[in-house]
Amino acid sequence: MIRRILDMAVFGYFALIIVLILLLGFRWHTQRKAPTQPIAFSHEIHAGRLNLECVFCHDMADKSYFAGIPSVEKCMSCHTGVKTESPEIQKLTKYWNDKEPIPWERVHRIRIRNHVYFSHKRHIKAGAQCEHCHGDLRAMAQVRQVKSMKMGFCVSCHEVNKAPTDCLICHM
Amino acid sequence: MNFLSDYIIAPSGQHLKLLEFLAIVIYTVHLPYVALVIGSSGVAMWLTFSDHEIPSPRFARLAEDLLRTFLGNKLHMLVLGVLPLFALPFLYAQWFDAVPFAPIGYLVLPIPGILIGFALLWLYRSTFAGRKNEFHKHMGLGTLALLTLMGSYFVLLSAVVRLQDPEKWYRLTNLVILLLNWNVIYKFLFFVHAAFAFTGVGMLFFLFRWSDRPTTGDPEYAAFVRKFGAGLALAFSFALPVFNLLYVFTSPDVIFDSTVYGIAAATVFVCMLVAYMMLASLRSAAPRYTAAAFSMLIVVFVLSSTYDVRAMANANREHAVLLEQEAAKKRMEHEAEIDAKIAEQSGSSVGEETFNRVCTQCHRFDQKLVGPALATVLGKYNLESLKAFIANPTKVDPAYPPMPNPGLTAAQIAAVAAYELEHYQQAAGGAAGQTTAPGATPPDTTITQPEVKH
Repeated sequence: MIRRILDMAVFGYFALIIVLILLLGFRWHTQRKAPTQPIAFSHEIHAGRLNLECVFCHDMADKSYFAGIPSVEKCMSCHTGVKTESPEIQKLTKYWNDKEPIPWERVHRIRIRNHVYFSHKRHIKAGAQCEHCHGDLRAMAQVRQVKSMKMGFCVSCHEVNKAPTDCLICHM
Repeated sequence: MNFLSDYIIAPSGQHLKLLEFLAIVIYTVHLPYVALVIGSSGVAMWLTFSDHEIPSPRFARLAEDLLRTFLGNKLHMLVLGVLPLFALPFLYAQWFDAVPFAPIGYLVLPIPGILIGFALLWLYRSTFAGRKNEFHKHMGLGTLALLTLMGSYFVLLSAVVRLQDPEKWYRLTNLVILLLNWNVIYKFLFFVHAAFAFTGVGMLFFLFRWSDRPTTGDPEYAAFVRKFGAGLALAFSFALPVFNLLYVFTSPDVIFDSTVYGIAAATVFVCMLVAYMMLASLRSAAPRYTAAAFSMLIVVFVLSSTYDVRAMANANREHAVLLEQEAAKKRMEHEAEIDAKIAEQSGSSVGEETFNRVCTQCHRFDQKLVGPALATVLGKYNLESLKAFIANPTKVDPAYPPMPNPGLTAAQIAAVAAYELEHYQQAAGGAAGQTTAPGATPPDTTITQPEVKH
């Protein structure tokens, strides 16, 4: 009897730790899972296989604080002719005909953004690579955030590239 | 490690995968051996000390058996203990060649300490026979050896763990900062506990199942070794999952994918199997499942090193992409050179082949597609300006989407520009000379200046 209780206790102990590890995994999965987008746009096809440059679509990234999301017009400049038989492109065409913006889910976000000033333009002018913060989009069919976007992440890159690390550079 | 940079060419994706596999193999060969060495000398020292305080022949005999079995062979020390250490830095140097702040220098730092530790252990073992007369020298040597080895492995493991957190590399300016991190400390504690659990299991395996079985013919001693080994392994395999959990909990977010969590959970599961096997050994009259438990603990080492290598690769996947791109670029340039040579020899045209493969996705000569019909626009270019445009396209006509950079090499651009202009001139007959822009020289169809940027 005691032996059986002991066996159960051993099992319970190890099972508890396995469950805790899986819970950590579940938390990571829900927080970092790629959001479902209204159109199954694939960076893997556009940036990867077609080798389009990032600013080819995100044309505001090197001109503005915000990289922005490409306009529907930008999509339609190719997709009036290209691959119109695809149901995803037909969704796109519907937004275009209805003159509606596409309700994309935002993926990257600085958590305390009210206290941080970040300009895409400055960083691209200084030669920062998009993939350094956004990850390898050429391999992502569905975009997810891969970097922590916390202060340590910013500061490490500033240190490496001899960019200023004064507090007021970002916090103002 | 910068002196190595001259000898390293950018590794391809498959090469990086191979390096990861080799890293796992090296850890799997090296860490279990070191675990046995550290664990067995620690246990032997405790036994010797107890025997010294309250003389007990069983303790002395087990201490001697442990030292003979686990520290007895210089060849093992060299092949399993020392050589893998020298392979490791070379392996990571290929991964992190010319990466600023990558802490791979710290992988080399502990090597002298580890060598000294092994030498001291050898001295410790050789003074075992005379320990009655020189007890303090014997124990002092052992303590010094253990502390040197543990300290060195703390540094080595912290360097391995810190490779998984590239966001913090810039802070690793000295050894203290490298070591003072909860993630590193939990990893080290996991390793030490695994070492003692492995020693307990190794005791049962080598003293009962291996070729010379010192426990046969002495049931009292056999029972003592069985209880001691199984108890040791059981206690430490209970502690392992806690440190594993804390290690996962303190790991940075960037290392994770579902496989990494799976590996961590599998490690705990294997520890559970070991615990049940040791319980069975304690309860029955003879050790049971010794070979299985021994293999299972090796699996724990394999899993934990797979976790670390996978974590390192996940955390640095962008760097891997850049390496792959560089390798792909080199390969492409090389292939383009070969193509050009073949075309030169056979008389066919690189330009035509490139045009059909790349440009025709959007352009035809006589027909509007995604881009304009080439017959309507080529008149505006001569060879130089066309090459410059293909190398770095800009938006010209607002009626069309901007042209993406086709990603061609300088030689391919020159060839395709020449081909397009030649084709255009043939189509336009003798009138081509008049259609070029005023002041521009007539198109020169020879490949003269392949140094255009792209």
